Amino acid sequence: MEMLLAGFASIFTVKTIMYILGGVVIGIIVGAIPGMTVTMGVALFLPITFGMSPILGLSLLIALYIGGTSGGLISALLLKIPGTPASIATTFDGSVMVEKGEAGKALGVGIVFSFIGGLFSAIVLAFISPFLAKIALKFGPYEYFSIALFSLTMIAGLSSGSLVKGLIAGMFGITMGFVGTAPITGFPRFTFGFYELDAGINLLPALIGLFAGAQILEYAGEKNKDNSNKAQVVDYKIKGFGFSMKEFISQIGNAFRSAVLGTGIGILPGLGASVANIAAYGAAQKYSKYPEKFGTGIIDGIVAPETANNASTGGALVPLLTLGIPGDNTTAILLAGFMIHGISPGPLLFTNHGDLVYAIFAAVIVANIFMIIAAFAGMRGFVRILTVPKYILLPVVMAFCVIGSFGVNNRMFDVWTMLAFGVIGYLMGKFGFGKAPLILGFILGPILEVNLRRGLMQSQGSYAPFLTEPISAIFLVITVIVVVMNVISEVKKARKRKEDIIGSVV
Amino acid sequence: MDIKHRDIYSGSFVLLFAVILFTASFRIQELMTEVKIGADFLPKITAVILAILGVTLIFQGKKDLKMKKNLDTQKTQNVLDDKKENKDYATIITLFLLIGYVALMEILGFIITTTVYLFLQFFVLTSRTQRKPLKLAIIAILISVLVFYLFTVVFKIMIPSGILG
Repeated sequence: MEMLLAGFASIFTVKTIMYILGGVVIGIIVGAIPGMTVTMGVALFLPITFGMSPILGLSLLIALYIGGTSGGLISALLLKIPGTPASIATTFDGSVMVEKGEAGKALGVGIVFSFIGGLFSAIVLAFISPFLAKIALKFGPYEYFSIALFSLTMIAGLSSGSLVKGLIAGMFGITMGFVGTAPITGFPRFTFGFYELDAGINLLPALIGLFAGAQILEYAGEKNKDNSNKAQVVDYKIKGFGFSMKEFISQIGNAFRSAVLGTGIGILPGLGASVANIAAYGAAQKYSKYPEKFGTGIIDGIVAPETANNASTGGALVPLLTLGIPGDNTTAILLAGFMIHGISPGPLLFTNHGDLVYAIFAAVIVANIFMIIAAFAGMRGFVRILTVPKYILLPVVMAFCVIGSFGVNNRMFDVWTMLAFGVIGYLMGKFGFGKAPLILGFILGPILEVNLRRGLMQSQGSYAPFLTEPISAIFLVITVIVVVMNVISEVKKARKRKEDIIGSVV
Repeated sequence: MDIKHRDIYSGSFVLLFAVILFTASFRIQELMTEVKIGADFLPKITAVILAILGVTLIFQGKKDLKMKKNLDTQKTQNVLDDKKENKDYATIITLFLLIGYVALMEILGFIITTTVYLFLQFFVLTSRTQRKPLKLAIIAILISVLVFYLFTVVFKIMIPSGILG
């Protein structure tokens, strides 16, 4: 607790507070603009933090992350298009409420419960991660290997649609991780003669390219560009928070369930807000006393996804800070942010940079408070920005991508990397492959390999310790269970698809 | 590219990639260590898994195609499938613009290349009716100058300044 207060003290400077506020506002805008994701926003702003102190830089990035996760609901309601994948489920009931003329109420509910979800997860983060870090300090190569392997199985949850394609993307990610100096022995491999690749493919330009650079190529290929430029913004009125105390109380159970679910999904490596919001909506419907009303414009359908998506933010920071394994795409970029400042997240972070860790906790809480204030105060302004045409926005984003990738090492090579990954990202989208599994593979591949080889060196070639060390064994068992469950559900799906197609013919 | 065969194409690509990865793994140099697993171990495993996945994808794609064909013969022709994909000149032009942008930046510097790139890119992304050259040119110049000073002066980030710097 004292540490947390010290954390607050370290961010309560005028400059840091201003940066957090600015980050939240920009985050909300980025999140609200359809086609710009939180991941992209954080990636674009990462270069700005190069010249800042770690506390200032990371506070800004976290503010962007939290603002961005919240901003998606504005366009989900007022444009009826989710601004980010984190708000997909918000449109289910939200768009119906808007049609009924309850846009103000829907916005109020969304913002307030986003705040509650975010705060809940921030508290969970602050309480469980020091504890987890203490356990993680005892982890050796066996544990890390098994956790990385387990995290890889999360690819199944990320590969919406085709499991095979998700796995392929994940394997490509692992392959990307091979490039550069091989662990342990230190010989370069797969560098194709580029000395710039000796240190491996740089994570940051790759991420910027995949998530931001690819956008412009995708947009260029879209048809009916004329129509998409002027989006229809719904008019709305709002009084106070837009809903009554009675309605608030009726949602406490739903909000609590969604917050726990969202935080939990956030903690699982690889899964983030985009999974949390849909899962929470599903759970809310399942446990509701009136499941048939979902989709008809009830606030339960907004409370669940909006609480859960913000709750996933704090959750996603847990594995990042305690193990150095990011919980979702955006925390993958935060990981790059840490590295730029020469800090590697993991259990040692808590002993070596305790002040920084608690400053981050404080920043998460402050950012959530600013989010609710900024969202209510600045709503009308944000809505206006939604109408900036994309043909101006995306080329400017591209210029930012160039600056950002160049700034990593001050060399053009990274800009080319960014461009290459922009093309890869575009092609992946075109052929129906997800980008999230790729990132997960890219980050986890090296962790997997280093720890496998380190472990085998320690055990002098014996695989037994991977199974006999208790924590390692537990994760391996869970891994097997997850894999088996996925295979079963995949087989079922394939069978059902066959029946559907046959059924539709007959 | 037609959408019907995309799984077969991408599956074949994955398979090819896996074969290249596997063969390239043999060229990894390494000191002999006592441990059996070297720097080529995981790449080889990954290559094998990728090959299996690639074949699965081709197989799935073929099966889907067959089912769709069955549907097509029994029902009316699927209109969507029949429609030819728009040849995406805009995407290809954008790609070349980007390559030119990055290639020229080190020589000409950020401000000049960005202004030119933005202007041309605006042009590519707008339809004929939206194109107001003067307005777009002013936006392009303003943005590049503003962004340059914002990053170099306020955020103190290195940007290639080229011949102007």
